[in-house]
Amino acid sequence: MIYLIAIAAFITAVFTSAIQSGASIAFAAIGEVISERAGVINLGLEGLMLVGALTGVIVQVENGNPALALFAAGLAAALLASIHAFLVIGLNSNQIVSGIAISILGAGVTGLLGRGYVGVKFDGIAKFEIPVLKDIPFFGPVLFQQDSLVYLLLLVSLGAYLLINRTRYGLHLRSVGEDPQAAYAQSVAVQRTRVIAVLLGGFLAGIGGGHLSLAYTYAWSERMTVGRGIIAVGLVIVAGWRPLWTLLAAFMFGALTVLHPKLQAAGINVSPYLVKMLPYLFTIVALTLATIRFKRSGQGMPAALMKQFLPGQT
Amino acid sequence: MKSLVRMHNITKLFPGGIFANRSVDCEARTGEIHGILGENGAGKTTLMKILAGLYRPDAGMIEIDGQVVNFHTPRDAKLAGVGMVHQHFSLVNALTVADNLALSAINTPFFLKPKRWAAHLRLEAERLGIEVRPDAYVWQLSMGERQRVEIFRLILEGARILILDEPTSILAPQEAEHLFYHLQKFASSGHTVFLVTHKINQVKENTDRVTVLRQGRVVATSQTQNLNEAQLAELMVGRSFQQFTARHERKVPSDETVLEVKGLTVKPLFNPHGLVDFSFTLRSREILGVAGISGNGQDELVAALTGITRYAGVINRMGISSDQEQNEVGYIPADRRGVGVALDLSVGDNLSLRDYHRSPFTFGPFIKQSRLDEAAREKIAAYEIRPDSPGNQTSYLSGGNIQKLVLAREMAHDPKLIVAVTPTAGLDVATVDLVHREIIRHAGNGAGALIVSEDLDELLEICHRILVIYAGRLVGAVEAHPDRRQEIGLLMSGLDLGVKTGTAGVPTERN
Amino acid sequence: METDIKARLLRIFRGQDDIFKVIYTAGGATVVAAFAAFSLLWLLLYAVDRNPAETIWSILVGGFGSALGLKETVTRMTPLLLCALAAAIPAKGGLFNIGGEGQLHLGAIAATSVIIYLTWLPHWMVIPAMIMMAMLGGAIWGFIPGILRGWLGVNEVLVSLMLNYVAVALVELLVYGPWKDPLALGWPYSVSFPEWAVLPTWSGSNIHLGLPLGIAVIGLFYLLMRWTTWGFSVRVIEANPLTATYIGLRIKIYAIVLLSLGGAMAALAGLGEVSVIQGRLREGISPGYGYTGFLITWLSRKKPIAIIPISFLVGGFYSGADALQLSAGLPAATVDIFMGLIFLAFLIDEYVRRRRAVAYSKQAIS
Repeated sequence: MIYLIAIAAFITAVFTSAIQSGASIAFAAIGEVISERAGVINLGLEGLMLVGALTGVIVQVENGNPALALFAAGLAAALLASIHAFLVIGLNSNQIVSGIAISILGAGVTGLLGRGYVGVKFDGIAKFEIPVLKDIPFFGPVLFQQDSLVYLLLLVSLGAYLLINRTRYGLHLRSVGEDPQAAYAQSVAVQRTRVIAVLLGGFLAGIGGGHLSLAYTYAWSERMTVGRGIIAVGLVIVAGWRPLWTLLAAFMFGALTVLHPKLQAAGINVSPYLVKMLPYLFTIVALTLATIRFKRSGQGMPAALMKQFLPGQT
Repeated sequence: MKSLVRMHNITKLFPGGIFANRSVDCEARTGEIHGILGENGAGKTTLMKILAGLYRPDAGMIEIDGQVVNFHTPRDAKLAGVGMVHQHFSLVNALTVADNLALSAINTPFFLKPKRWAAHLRLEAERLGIEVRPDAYVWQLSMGERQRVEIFRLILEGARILILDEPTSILAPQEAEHLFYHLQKFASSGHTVFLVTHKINQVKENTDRVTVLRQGRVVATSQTQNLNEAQLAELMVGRSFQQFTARHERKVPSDETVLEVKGLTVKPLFNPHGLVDFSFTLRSREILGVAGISGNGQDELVAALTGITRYAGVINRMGISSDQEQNEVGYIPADRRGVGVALDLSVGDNLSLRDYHRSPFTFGPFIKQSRLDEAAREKIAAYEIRPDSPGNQTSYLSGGNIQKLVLAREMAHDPKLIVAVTPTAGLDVATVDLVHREIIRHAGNGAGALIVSEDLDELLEICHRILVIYAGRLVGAVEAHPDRRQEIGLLMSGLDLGVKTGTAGVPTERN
Repeated sequence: METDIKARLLRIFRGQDDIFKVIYTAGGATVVAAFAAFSLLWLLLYAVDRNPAETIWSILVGGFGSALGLKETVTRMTPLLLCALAAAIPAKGGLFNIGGEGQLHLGAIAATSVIIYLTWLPHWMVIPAMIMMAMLGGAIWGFIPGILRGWLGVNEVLVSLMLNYVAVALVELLVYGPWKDPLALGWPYSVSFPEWAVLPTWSGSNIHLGLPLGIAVIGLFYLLMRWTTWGFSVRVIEANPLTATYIGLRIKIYAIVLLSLGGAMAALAGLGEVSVIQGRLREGISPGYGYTGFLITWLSRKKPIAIIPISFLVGGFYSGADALQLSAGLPAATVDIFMGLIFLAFLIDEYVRRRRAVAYSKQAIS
């Protein structure tokens, strides 16, 4: 009996932390879903999240208003993303190369500008506990004792789903990601649709970064995203470019990252570095399985992803 | 009948100095189906794209219903009532019909209302007498259905002038009849239809008036009934030209089998059907056609024969061992630019693709570039490929020259088996003739040729026998004689009347 | 034959021949783009209260202005060149190898494993063994994305990127765990490399065997690509994988081979770092050489020979910035910024080039 309670408590703790850990990736990943459904892959998420994280910290330290800090984070990342948009959509550059360059640029710029903020303390975004509901066993802590951003995240993922599937813009988005030539023939503003998608994706990535620094680690350090940006891209594929599934995948990933401290707390001793590898290995495996699945069914990936669009070219 | 569309002195020049249209005058009246006849490359499509707002003319003017119009974008043309039916770039495969129509509709609300929209579409479709399925995904539709959706869309958006560019290339004869029936109805209700084609018989059968283009200029405009087929042919090509004389050089097929296919089954690759239990025999000196509407399994058949995909069943290439295979099969793919050549490589490199890894062009692991260049030059000369330098980048070549390149390369080793897929699509008459002659010549020397084509006329001209494919199955094997046209057409549409099947489900020849 | 040479010279003179077109038409856009990158860097430095002119000058002087600086530059150049090669080899087949960082670490691990486990080897065999093991380790790390891409079509970019992180974690696992040198006073280091396990270097500097080896490989690679059937096949695959399949090339195999070879190259960089530069396995042996190498490959427009001068230049930035870090407290990240900006400038430049090419081909399609 005690064992069961212990396990229940363990699982609850894992889930709760998983959501906290995965939230930042979820934001970035959902943003990437929007971008990729329009046909643009953005490997610069790493740099974008870093920019968001640092901007959030800076605004919070100088200003103290978390909402403003978060918004600024999104804005700053969107600004960096606009470079990617310009290169890839305006100049038809190679999407992969541009993304990597943006990542490196983002890491470099934040490393330089963030020196003064390493180790600086600030009030982050606190947990927002919903009274009464928070005491429900399991669901209580997991769902109702999270920081306010998590609630925002749920709204965002739902919003993304609605945007993609139930709005005219979403229709344009999907058509542009599948067959830009056909969309162009139907007078859809292909370039503009894509630019908006990339900027939205960048904005969300910035919010994700902001969550990381303001609501999870409560600190800034150089290159603090350790690959979360890239994981986000992988998760998009694993989740089949669907926003709600992406949320799930991000939380699963989050669970893997928090596994080690939780295991240790439960008395199981595993090398921390081994556990550190797990999330990445897991993503590789999931990516492989997802790719196989998509090759079989022939659907899933937006057909025009990563391809250049030259209007009027046969 | 008054003029609905008047195009005057239209001139279009493309970068590089090519005059696609030179001082073209064209005029069409209400209630009329107006044919635009010309060979591939004559400027017909360009002219119509100008009318549809896709290109801007360098000179000239367009009048619609008496008013001068200036189209900056395709949308302008659409608003003026001009609708062009595109075969390829207009429907998004991954979306449903309803979604596609919502995409182009002018007053789609920001928050979509799918049920209401679908109901509206069904209502309109019934009113117009056109059959469409709003909830189907475009990739599920046949080519004929897609064309219907395109036309439906245009009428829905208020088109008064319909432009169709080679609409029957993807249709079975019976579907084509349906199409022209609808077009006639449309024209009669006060509208105009432009029919762009290179098929003389189509112009004779379906148009009221015709404008003939040759090398960018108008060479004739007349009531269709005033010109006979021979005259139209001469106007089109510029000299007395007998189409399809190559047929007479065909040799009788020998008894030796070159290719034996038994029970071939392939998983669906490009369309819902795949290939099911396909069997046939190809003999030496025989030219065998595969007729069928695109998307009924031909792609899978070709993929299996050329080794791209796995299959169940037996493919027996007589006398060709697998390591000699690359030498002995000449394959002319449907997508000459996308598969047949590598556009970023030079012409010489592309010509060498089958040679570079075997003697006498290698020295151990090294390539003897000079020998390859020599061979490339020979091929260029033999097939009159222009421009003629082996160093040119292949992407600079025109479609006809690229096809000549592919031919030159594939036929160079006198392959025993030739597989050609829609080998003459989009080519001018002279090149079409060249392709046909080459195939017939090689067949005459002992090769067996399998020609997959949607152009029934082509198959009837050069093949000995025609296999008909429908829904992935062999539904008929018919002697290639013009009298059998109707029959083949029925088979292509899946209306097999009294096909006797032998054992193992293989249809025997019809009498 | 004669007319060909004449024609070629004429083309070179007119700036139409390939290599020279690059030089001839490298006019306007590159300058503008480089200027834009430069100004951005200026602004950034300003924003952190540094005199931009002074800083940039110091970096340049630090890298190229003295014998010591030059030596350091060439030392830095070696891993950069090798990592660039790691990306360049698969790039010829149309693949993106961003896993250079991870492959470098695997090379380091594999090399270290020789001195830890193969202690019975006669001393003269140790270095060749390390080279082989390192290349094997890197090849494995390249093989994984290779086979996943070739066989299953999984995006090799994502896989190799993630393996980078796994590799770093692997190093940490080893130096905090089984390979921790008990004599290192609790620091996470492996044992030092004994002197017979240190690669031969050039007269007292840290410039090691990897450099001539890398340059030799570049030359060899160039020859292979140009003169052998294998090279031709790779070119066909890169130009059009569909055509390649249709003429019978087994693309899957090529993907695996190219990525494994690339991995082996990056691994040599790792070997150099761990054997010569650091002298032991530890965290942080690479300040991002793998990624920078990838960028260098792209900057070289897939002409392997250009990797040499470009890695030299970038090596100079690294060593100059390094000196600056010690003297003025500027983080190494500064170089990243510069690289990133140069890169963006390059992409802009590429665009201009492509526009011209498109204009030419448009005229021919009738």
